Amino acid sequence: MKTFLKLIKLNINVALGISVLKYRFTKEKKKLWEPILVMLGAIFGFGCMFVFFSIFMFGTYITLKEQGQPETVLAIAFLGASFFLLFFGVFHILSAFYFSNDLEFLVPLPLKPYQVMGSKFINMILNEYLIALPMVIPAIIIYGIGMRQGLFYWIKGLVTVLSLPIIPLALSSVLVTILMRFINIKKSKDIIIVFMSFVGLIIGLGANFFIQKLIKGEGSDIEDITQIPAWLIEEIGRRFPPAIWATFGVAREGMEGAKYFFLFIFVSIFLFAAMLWIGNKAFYKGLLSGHDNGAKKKKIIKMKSMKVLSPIKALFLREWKLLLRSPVFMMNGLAGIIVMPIMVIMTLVTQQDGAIGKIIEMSLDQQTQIYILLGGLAVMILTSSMNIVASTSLSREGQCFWISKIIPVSPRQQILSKFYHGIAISLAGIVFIGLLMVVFLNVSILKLPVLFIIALMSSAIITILDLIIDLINPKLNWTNPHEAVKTNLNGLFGLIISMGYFGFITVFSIGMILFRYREWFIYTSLFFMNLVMLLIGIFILLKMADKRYKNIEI
Amino acid sequence: MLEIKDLSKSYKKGTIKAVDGMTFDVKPGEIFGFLGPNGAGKTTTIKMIIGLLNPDSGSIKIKGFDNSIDTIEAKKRIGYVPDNPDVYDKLTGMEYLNFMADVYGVSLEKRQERIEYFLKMFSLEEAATDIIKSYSHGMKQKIVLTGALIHEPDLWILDEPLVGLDPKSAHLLKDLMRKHCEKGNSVFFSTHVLEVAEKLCDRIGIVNKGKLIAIGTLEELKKGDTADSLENIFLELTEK
Repeated sequence: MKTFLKLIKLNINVALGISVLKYRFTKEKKKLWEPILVMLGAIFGFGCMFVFFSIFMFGTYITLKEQGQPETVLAIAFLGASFFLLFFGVFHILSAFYFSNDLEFLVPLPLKPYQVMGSKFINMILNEYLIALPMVIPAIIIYGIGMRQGLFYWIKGLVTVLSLPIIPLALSSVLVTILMRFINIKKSKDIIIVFMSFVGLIIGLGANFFIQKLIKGEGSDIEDITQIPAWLIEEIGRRFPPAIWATFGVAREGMEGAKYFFLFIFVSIFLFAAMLWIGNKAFYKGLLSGHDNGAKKKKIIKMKSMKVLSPIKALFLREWKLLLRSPVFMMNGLAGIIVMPIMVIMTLVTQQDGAIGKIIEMSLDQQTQIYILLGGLAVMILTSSMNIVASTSLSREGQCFWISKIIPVSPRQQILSKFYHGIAISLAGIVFIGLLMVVFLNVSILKLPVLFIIALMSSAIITILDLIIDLINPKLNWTNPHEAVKTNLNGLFGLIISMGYFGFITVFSIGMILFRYREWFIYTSLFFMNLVMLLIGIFILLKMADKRYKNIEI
Repeated sequence: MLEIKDLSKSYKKGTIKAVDGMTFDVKPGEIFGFLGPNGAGKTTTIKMIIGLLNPDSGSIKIKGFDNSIDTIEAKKRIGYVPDNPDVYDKLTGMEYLNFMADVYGVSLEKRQERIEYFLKMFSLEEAATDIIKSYSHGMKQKIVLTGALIHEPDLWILDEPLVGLDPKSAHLLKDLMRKHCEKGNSVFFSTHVLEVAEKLCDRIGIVNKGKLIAIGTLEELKKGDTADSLENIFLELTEK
């Protein structure tokens, strides 16, 4: 038990970076702003989620109370949180149990599989509170205050909220552990990540589609979502009974409440124990099943098919290969480009008779077409800039950056290859949105090249800004590709700066429309303004590349 | 071939002197061994020569090109192998070698000839089309070595090149080093294996606490010392 507790402590230390923070506070004070900024960002994000769910839950509670079903607000919160935990849990468990780097030194230690698995599981529960608490706490507070509940309610509420992640995560763990027993991880790791990411994307988009359908009707506000008939509790109960046990356990008084409350707690403990038992039997077997017994086919090297490329082409190709072959880089880099057009198509398809219908009408009218064209331009710029490819471009090289430092290719050429790579990705988004505009909004093919050029210039400016951000402070010290993109602040800064540029260009365009400038004059102004920014941007980028490639030490 | 003058590098605002006023040169046709205990400043010196770190003061010239002024020209003349072979693990061995050949501007005929030669020598022909991630430490070391030598550089700079290599490959590498120097080129390498330095090096530099404390041929080092082997000379000098 002592070892188990120590392992949990170690995992929490690593996950929260406690030792790193201590080091920063005592020795490396120069970089202290990084954790502080991350903490502020987390508090802000957490606060926003909390406020959002509070407003939603309050509206839901009022409506449900009028219908005489106030406790359904708890059921919705518990079910919603459980669904998210179950869904994200599968991803998180896969990466924590099977793909994390610390397993290499944990497995040879004299630890039982359940100890390794259990410590990681508990650490994950702490992480999942970030998702669960903002969803559930508002409902608990609103219901508790609204129904003037007593002390027992709050105690039961607290215990239920804290143990809420156990059941969905234990179910995900059991599923993943059994599944991985039959999959060769080492051979299929990349495929699994890509597959899971796409499944996640499809589910996410499916949910978006469902919500769009739901609110498509008239009076699309909270009443529609919360006009839930009495059978809702039964439906929820049938699909995921623990959400109902939690609801009744917390909301109902006396023996009935206690019965459900203890049922919920007992099942949580039982599933946790079952997970540890199954883990003890199957965890290491699945983890170590990566050996490759198959006879290898001898591959013949085709020396004659070799091609000589210029350094800049070779670097450009390297960027593509490294992005597309690392699932984490690919999904984080290209998700925006893929998701945005799909969401636009969904909106166009599902809402053709509503607001979108009006947009189509406006696009046909010569007087109002300019609004639609500029709106389309905005979507083009947004789609092309909603990625972190350029802002993590140097960071993704990680410890391999030494190669970029020693090769006899000037920093200018190296940064230009990254610039072309970023632009190529943006171009895909621009072309796609442009085609949608032609198909759905009857935009003239003659005007489209003008929009293309302005959008391309805009995305070039954003790419330059992103590259400058990564040049200033690249995150090269990472052991897991996730760190290079997901926990890299440069990605966030890049998106903020992109939004800043986007806001500027939007205000500029709206201002020109308000002052009733002619359409061609607006395009020409945007073109020249972008041209000036682009030239200045390239000049700064190349100068900075010379300086930073020399000064970044590795 | 390599001239180093008054080279210094410190960390933590000058409190830790990693390299302290180092001056030496490596002549054409020479294998130069760079020895020293852990943390003596060997890797820091090497990293400054190839441009991974910037010196606080001093100069480094490679075949007459100052590496802080004629950076590209200096880089063209170096082939570097780090102590830890971190390479793009999502590329295949072949893609990595072609990438290196492209950035060093190696012609098609030359690269075909050299890739074939090295892959055969290191028994990497079958693995060359696999991604580098699937390689063992030794295989990675060999592919990095091949990538570093593909442009036939004048000066090889190798940081602990024998670590991770099997005996056959280590023997082949030592042979290669000798042949390379016979053509008038040079090899500068760091090592902990004193026997290798003793047998292979034309001259040896011993570094301790950032300072070059001894330099010369094995005979020259023995002259000023009572010790009879490089191991004893090394221990006596570094434990002073």
